[in-house]
Amino acid sequence: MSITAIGFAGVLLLLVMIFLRVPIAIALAASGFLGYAAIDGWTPALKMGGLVPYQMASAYSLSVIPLFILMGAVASRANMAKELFQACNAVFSGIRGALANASIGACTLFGAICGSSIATAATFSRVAIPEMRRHGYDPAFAGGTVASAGTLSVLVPPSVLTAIYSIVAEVSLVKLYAAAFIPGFVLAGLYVLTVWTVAWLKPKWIPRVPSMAWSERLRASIGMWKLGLLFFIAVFGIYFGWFSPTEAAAVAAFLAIVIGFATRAMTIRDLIDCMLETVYTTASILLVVAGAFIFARFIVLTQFPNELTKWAHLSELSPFWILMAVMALYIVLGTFLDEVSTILITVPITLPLVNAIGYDGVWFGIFVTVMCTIGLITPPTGMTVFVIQAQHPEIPVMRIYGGTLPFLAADFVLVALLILFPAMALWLPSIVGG
Amino acid sequence: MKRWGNIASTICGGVAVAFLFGMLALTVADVVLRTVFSYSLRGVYELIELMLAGSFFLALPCVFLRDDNILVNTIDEFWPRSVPLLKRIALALSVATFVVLVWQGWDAAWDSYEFHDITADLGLPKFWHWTIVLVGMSLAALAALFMLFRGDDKGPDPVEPRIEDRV
Repeated sequence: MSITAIGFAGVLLLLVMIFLRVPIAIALAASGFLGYAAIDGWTPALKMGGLVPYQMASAYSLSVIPLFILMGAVASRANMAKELFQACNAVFSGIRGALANASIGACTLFGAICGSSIATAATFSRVAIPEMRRHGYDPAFAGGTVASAGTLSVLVPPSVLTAIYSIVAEVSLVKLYAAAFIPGFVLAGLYVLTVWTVAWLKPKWIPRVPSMAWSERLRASIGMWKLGLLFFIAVFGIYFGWFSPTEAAAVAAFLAIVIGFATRAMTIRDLIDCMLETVYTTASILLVVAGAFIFARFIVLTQFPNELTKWAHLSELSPFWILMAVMALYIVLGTFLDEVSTILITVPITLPLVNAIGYDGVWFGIFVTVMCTIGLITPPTGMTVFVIQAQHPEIPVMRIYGGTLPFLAADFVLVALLILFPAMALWLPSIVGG
Repeated sequence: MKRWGNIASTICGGVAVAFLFGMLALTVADVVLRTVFSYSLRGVYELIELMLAGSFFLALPCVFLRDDNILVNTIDEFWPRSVPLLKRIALALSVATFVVLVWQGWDAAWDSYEFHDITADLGLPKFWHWTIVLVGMSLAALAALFMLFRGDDKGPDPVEPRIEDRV
């Protein structure tokens, strides 16, 4: 059996195990280990298996993950979401689609701090959807808005998913966070435009809501300061070079705890719950990272990425069509795989290919992250859609998918913009250090 | 059985939380000392790595006890009757994977102990890192074994609701 055939067999074994409900971490480790043994023999494979877990115990860069998760857990627990929604509502008040746009604005800022699309969608499905329905919004559109806006959390910095990409692709996290800034806010802007377009085409779905008085607006806007401060410390602290990503995560998490206690929004019991939630979530994610480290060693041994690059050169396909193929791969994977696993499994294979056709690793990180946001709202396993449906069982899941369709179009517009204007992602990293 | 699972999960989670808190406190202290007093703590990176290892590896058993593993459950819709069997196969595979990792890790850890491997900055014996890695993975293997033999016709269910179910 040739090495390439073993490579294919290893990937096939991985996919079969994933479909058969084997935890993705274990599927990655087992297929990686068996593939490695098939190429290099049992003794080297066993030695490799013994050493990889230690790699996890000596990887400082991984420490950014639990600290950002903790910051998000504390922000969620300390009721910062409701105040933020009211503040964003005050900003958009008087404009048609104000509540939907307030949801998008609030999800952008809250998602940046929280870092979890599921938690963001869950939080705002409780805060925003009842408010939208109370004012006569179409339930499917209301659900679709929050499900889509929740996905912004994986793109807008500081994102845990971007941190995971930086580890697996060995790209500077500072540059990635800088690269994600403009596309993140452009996507939020495209979502706002989507709401206005839908309001124009289907006015019955989005009734006009009476505007708030200016004094009321000002009072509500002040409620934004907590998350605004955390965002400033976590993002601009890194951009200005005050902190490393790990330090920024720790300082922002600490600040979130101080704000939580100072405003009496949190108790010691809440803090312990947040920390428990953080270690559980971190362990689930880092277990997949450990499995991916084993699988990556196997992939390196197969020379799979090199063969793929050679094939791409020989086939004389234009970079555009190769990129379209990569995009199709992520759309397919996004329908059944979660975003962390998608990145950990594919990036060791796709990044060398994309590098070979002239695209930068930082740019590709943003491209992959945007593709993951699409996967979060596409059937059959659109995770944020499921979260909305779990909390609003009266809205059928297919109708929520229908509500996300206009926003899905906005996602693809961003992908097109990224391909046409790579500087959109690469300009800021060129002026930020790291 | 379920109660014991919950107790074990709480203890492991509690120890992991202590390590997480240490990571947070140490990083913030380093930033404050550096900013206010221009004084940098020595060996912060190494201590953070050690605490991250504690926070991750000691929470590993909880992933199995709480059924928090990241997986694709598309098959549940198409072939629900197979789920209990598939769950058991996955748990058995998890036990086997951890046993291999611990077995091979032990050899590497012993080498590290015999050769007195230490960290570059603080001179900490790397055997401490290995101890955390091996204890965490051994407990994870035991947790997966516990879930495998919990004795439930419907197959192992989560000890506590999953995060997704609670949100």
